[in-house]
Amino acid sequence: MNLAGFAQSGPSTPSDSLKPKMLESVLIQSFKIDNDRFQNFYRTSKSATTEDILCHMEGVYLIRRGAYGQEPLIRGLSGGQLSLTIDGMKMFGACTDKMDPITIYIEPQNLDNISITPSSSGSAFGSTVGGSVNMKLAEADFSKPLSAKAGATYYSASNGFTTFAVVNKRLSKSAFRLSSVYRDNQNYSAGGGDIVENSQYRKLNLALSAKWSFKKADTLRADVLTDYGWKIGFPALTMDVGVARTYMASVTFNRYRPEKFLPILILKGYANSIYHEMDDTHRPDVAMHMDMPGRSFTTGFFAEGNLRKMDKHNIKFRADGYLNSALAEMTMYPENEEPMYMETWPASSRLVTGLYGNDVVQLSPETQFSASARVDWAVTQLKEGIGLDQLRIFYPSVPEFQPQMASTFTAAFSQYFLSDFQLSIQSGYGQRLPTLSEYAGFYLFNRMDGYDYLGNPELKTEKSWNENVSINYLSKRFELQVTAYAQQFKDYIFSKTDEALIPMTPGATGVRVYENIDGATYRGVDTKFVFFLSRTFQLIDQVKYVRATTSQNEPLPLIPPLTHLLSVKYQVRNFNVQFDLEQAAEQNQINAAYGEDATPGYAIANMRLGWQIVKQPLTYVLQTGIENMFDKNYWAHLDWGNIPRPGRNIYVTLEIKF
Amino acid sequence: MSYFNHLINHETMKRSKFHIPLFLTIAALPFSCAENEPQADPTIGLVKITEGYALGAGAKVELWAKEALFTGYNQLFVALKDSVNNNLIVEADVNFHPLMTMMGGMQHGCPEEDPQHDAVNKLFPGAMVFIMPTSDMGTWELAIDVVNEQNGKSGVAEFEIIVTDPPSPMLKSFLTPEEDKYFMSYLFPESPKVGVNDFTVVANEMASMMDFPGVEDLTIVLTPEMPSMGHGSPNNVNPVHEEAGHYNGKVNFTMTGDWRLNLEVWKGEVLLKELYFDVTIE
Repeated sequence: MNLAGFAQSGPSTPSDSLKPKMLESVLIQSFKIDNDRFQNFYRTSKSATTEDILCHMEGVYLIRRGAYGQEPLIRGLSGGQLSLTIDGMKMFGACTDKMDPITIYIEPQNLDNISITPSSSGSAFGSTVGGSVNMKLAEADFSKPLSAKAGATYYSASNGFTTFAVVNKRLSKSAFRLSSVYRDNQNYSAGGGDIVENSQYRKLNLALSAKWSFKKADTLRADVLTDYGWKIGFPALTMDVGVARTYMASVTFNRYRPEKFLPILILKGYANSIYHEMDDTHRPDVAMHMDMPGRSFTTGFFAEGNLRKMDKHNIKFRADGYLNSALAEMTMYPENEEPMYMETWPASSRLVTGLYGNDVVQLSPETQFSASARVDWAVTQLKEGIGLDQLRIFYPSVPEFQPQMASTFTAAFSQYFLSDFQLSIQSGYGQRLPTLSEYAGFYLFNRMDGYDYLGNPELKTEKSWNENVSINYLSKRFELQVTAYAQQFKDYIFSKTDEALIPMTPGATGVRVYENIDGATYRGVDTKFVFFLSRTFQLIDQVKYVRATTSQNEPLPLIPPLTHLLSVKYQVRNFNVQFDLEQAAEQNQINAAYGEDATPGYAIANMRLGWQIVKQPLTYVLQTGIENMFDKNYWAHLDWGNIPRPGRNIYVTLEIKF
Repeated sequence: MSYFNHLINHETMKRSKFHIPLFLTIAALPFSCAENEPQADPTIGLVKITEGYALGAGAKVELWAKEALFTGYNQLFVALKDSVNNNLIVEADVNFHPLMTMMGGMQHGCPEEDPQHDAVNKLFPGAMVFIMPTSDMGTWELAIDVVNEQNGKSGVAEFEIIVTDPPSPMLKSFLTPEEDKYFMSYLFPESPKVGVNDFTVVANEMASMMDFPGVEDLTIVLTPEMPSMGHGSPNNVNPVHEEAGHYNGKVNFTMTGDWRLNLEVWKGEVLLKELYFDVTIE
């Protein structure tokens, strides 16, 4: 029983826009199926990465700094504006250059589904302006006494391969699931055949999930996961990653008492730790060698549950807390001189506790109203030591402890009319805390604009009003959804050049300090058209567009252009063939002061084939395909440094399972 | 219980030692001299340079410093101990008389800052700016004369001392357009570290062979930088004259490593000299 409905706080995502005429329990179940079906469609190959799935989701884009570790955006918002969680657990990267968004630590083989909830509706896991991305982990399966699968994929563009294996074993009252994924990619070649140097990576992921069931359907789960990446190249940056390693552990207790006031109660305790180390020893022209290790440790707890349905109200709540400690250091080794040490993130801790409540009121079978509220209380500590002393050069009175509060409110209304149409309106207000880089970063070099960035402990929380209107048309065969949204910001966290400061990084143009500005606005439209003709023919067509400007109507940096994704899949018996078209318009809404240049539009096509052969007790799945069939040399606007994406890539996957 | 020992020693001659009522003993505690209380050793962390007796003043003179004597501004601490009972004397007039005898026979002194009348934390803090190291060219002697307030007697302790050049110069000198010789040295009141640091530049002029008064009318501009990186640090405070040739300011180090403190020395509208001191921050 998967209670995946928790991630939503309003009818604002397509996948839960089911006809309310269905039974409530089926509603929850069907939401999961639809979400999975959509995502399973985009698990283009058995060896797709989590990012491959994300970039096909509505409103989602990716910033790419290398072949590995792409950072997700929702509707143009990213970083600290989003709430990224794994099974509801908070996790924070350990790299000052954002080379390790936490999505890199999860492989689709240990992923159950990804829930994206944009803007203020996404405050279930933390106060936010941009929404939430929650990656739900796969759990041990009780359905069969023993099942397993294993496979391997070869990619021609990077002369690389991925191998994976998953084993699931059920005993009388418990089940265990073990998964492993190993990826090994060399430098890839772009369209036209040029090799992109420093784009290799290697990664090993191991995850163990154990589940015990008790009477009354209560369950206890224990999960451990480790992900180890090494020699990871970042062609758009001046250095690579030597090691990116994480350990995660959690214990979850699910209590299920349908007859009680609190039918569903989930308690979870967790901890995760990341070690990240940059590496410039493989780059030819390094002016001065630097060691740059970073550490991030998070531990937390939450209690969430559903109250019994009362007079049309469905109330969910969550009480949570976490403590994140981080430190990033830099030691530079000049010739014939003493090494120079500084902390690019001062040793710090942030403790956040929060409360969340959500009520979905089914006023009638066609009409639904929902509201949610979250309040977070945070205390950020800059620990005594070199990091705090460094910051006091710029901010003499920065206190060791700084409290802040952030809250988010949303109200949404959804109405079915003309039997097949659904209109949803959602409006809300959100706040988010500054990230450690924005708050206390010390001379963080930004390769995109060539400036050293300095944190600002006086930053206020970023605040945003958002509105969302969505019209869905649902019929047996197809679904069309058009969503228009707008977000206005107060105290948007941006940066300004401080002419009086001299940069530290050799070659940097100057120093920019984070500050709050007013008047940033984001507006956009996402459309999705889905056509499922049973299993034979499936078509998904998406268009995404977002435009973001400052109060002076200047474009904000790192905003993607109009994007169109079309996938068509034809399945007959054990064979399927799929064609993808991926297009982006040119982006000339750019902010040159922040190092952007215009990006030409592009269109690429993929073809994928799959066979499934059952020879009891085994099932064989063979997939092959050609990505970027016409070997186009292209890059997307959000790809740093205009590093081209892979050219023609032929892949072959074989999976065996039972 | 050194307090009792003290009483016993004094009373031995009077043969009534053990009969002092206890309450008087306790009552006398607040009025007893500080030297009878157990106390933290004020010389912790300091280096003893030399010691000797100021004959005639009834005092033993110990010269302590933060490190061995070097060319530059040396923070010094004099401990005066009563030569009979070894207690620390906390009120005295202490004067330094440094003297270098050059190879050819010529003699000169150096800038000196004599301690105040009252001890600070049981020691007499003062300073000397040694303008040359001990070498074949010349050697240093130091006379410390003491007027012991406790007995009104005075005497002089004489020492030979050795001054060496530090790894990185902490003293620089130059001639002004009027042919005055100026000596610039510096000190950090606390060990320098990453972050904001109090910083003092000391300027002395050679008025005569034995007289080196502080220069009080300079304007100093401080620009720290890391020579290998070519960058400096922000929010430094130019040293400003407080007294006796001491110019107090603040210098900020954004990271550990080798730093260069660039100083511009101005008198009115005239730039007298640009010089620098190299410091390694750990």
